[in-house]
Amino acid sequence: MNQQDKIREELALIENWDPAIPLIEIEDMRKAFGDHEVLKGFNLKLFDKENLVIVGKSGSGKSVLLKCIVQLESMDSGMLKVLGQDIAELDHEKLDRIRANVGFLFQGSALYDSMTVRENLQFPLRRHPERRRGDEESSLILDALKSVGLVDAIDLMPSELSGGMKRRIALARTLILRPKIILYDEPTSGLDPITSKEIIELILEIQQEYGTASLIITHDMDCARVISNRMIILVNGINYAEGTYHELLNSKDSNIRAFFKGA
Amino acid sequence: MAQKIKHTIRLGIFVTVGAILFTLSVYSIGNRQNLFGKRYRISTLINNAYGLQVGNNVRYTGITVGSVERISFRNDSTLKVDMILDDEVKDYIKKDAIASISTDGLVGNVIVNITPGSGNGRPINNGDIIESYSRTDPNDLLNSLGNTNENIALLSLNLLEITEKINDGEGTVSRLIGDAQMANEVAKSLSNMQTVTKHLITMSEQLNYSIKQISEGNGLLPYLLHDNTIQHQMESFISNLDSLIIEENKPVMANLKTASEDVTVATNELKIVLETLNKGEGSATTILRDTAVAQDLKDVFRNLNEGTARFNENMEALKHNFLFKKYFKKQEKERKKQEKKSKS
Amino acid sequence: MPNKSIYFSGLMNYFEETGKVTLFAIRFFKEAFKPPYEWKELIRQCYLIGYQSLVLVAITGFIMGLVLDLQTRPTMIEFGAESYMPSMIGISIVREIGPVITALICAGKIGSGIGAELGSMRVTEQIDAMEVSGTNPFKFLVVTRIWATTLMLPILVIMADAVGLFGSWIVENLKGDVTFALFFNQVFNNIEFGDLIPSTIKSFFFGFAIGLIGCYKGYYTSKGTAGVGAAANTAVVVASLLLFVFDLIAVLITDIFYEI
Repeated sequence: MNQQDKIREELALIENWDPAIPLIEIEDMRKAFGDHEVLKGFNLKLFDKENLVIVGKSGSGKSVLLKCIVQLESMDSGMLKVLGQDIAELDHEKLDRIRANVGFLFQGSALYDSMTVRENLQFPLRRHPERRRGDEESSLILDALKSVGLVDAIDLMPSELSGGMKRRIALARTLILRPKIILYDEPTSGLDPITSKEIIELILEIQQEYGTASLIITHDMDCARVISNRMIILVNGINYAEGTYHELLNSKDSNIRAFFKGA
Repeated sequence: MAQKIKHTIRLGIFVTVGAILFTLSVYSIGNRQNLFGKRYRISTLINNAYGLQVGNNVRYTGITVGSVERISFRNDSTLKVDMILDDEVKDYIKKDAIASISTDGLVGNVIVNITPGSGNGRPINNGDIIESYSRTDPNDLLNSLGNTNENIALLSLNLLEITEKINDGEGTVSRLIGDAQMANEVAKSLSNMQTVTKHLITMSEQLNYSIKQISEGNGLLPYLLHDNTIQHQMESFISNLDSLIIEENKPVMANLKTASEDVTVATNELKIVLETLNKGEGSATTILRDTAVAQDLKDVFRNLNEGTARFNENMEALKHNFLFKKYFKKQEKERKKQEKKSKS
Repeated sequence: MPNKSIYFSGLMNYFEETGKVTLFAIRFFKEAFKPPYEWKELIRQCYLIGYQSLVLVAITGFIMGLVLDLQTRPTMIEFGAESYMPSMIGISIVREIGPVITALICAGKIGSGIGAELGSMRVTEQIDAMEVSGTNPFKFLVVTRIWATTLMLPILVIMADAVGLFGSWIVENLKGDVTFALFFNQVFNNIEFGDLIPSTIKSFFFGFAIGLIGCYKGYYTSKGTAGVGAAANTAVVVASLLLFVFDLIAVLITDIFYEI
């Protein structure tokens, strides 16, 4: 079996994912920075087409969790499976193929400043030609931009875009590889309430259109309320509580209630 | 996309221009060292490299035609200098050309100078060894000037010795003048006193004539009189001569009676002496008058003059040298200033 | 009274940084010759680093030539060595002043630019974004930039040399009636390969140093936007220092091979 066939088979397996198997499975994840232990045995299961929201205070290790999933950070101990593969064990090539299935929307959008919107969207494709699925590059870019409603911005530079537009373009860039999972790191941070609402609605639309599973990290409870099928509350480095928005809203636990105070 | 292509073109131009500049400078340097194009090698054997280095220029009749490729020891006192020359000059350099090492200007780089030989030789071939002669460098020039100075000092020293010897009564001059036997013979010529005095008058006349000649500037002595010490010495020499004559004539007077018969002979002899003095024979006259030795001395002085003239020429050449231009200009200015001052 | 441990920790910091920079350089050499190559980005960086520094370097070179000539002239005239001006200027520009001034200017412009660019890419997670989208950011950002500085600096140095000599010629021509041909003839009569080749090799190392330090400082920026400024700043300082160290080493090595 040659490399091409292998990749195709992998893709096929991922596209027809068994809903019973979690896309991401984390058990007893630990991560410390120096003496400061951020994650102290975190557990998580993300299933297909699910919107899982993780809420936690800033500095509680939410971002670190996401970065561990795509191996931008490596965890100290624990088990981490993404799309059925133990991600810490993979070589760089295989890791890249897994990463192509996991979109990552960064907190500050992380658009490449020196490139136009078009080039930004081209960028993920250059190393993942198999992700085009036979389509023309330009049509893929246009499709992605259509999904976020910013086709006109194709030749603009990121510096010419507003914060909300940047977030949309970043989302389009994430979508262009048609990932199975999208990780959102504070998707509404730094945006005004109206734009936040638009982005939240967009995330829902995208989720329906592309059929992705989403893992969303936020401390914006509005966002959590609209998007979440299920929520995890991260306190002291562990998944303190788990449930739907409403279940948690009615909780008597003071630690949980603290999150809903503003809502 | 059009913008992109333009960028690439600009970058291309930038890199190309840089590469061309680099290549040009490499070529310019290489050309000088004859790395490109046809070339051939010749060698010469020398005793002293005078700081010659690999890469120094080789000039033929003043034109740079190549560079030094290698300097190696042949034996304990001979060096072999290999040179690379342009192919173009091959036909012009003959086998009897002579290489020398000199400096490019007074303080410039050391260079190898090839000067044409008789012009009848066959053109040089690759690998030939040509003759060399030791260069005259500024140091040598200064050395020879130093030698001249030493010679002048020696000369005046010798003159001093001569006059001293005359004073002490040594040597031919004093013997001729102060010989005791001769004096006795003079003493015997009492009867011919008249003749003697007559001759004495003639002698003093002739001496006067000699001194007059000297003072008029004829003969060698005026040359010597340029120098004060020499002048003084000559003066004392002449006065000594006078006193000698007077002193030595005292016994002549005393013995006039006893030696009357021999007076004629003596006077004759004295006559001969004086005649020889006048004719310019004998050591004393040799110095006083221009004969062979005087001629030699004259030659020495001419050489000295020539030496100083050449030195002047060198100084003149130095004046034109850029290095010292400023200095001489300054001097000139100073001199003019002085003149102005003295005029006003 | 300063504490001894302050000096000690300072020394340790220095060693740690040196070690990190060395590892960074080793990583560069490991990845530089391994496919895939980022040609497009390399060319883009060459354009930005090389071509876009040209005007600055040319102006600096020109003024450098002018000033050097104006300053040296009176002294040389005093010694009556006016006619040695072209060769003296030529040798000093080609051997030392051209490479060092150009490298310092580039350390200021390019080093800080790279430091700030990579620094802000780091703090805005652009480097992370590249990493997750399957592109090796080290290869894409660092390798291309270090290559670009290494390759472009010698060209900039040659250009600065040329413009600088041209500037000197203008002074010579105005003050001393030296023709263009005579000036450059004299210059090239006195420049040896021993002057040109080592200074060109030196320029490659200068470029490498500027790229390496700029990238290192930018790539490992932390502490947000303040860190970006610090990265740009230290990139210039460290790169400039390193240039002089390289220069000293280069001169010593040149001494061995060419016996100046």
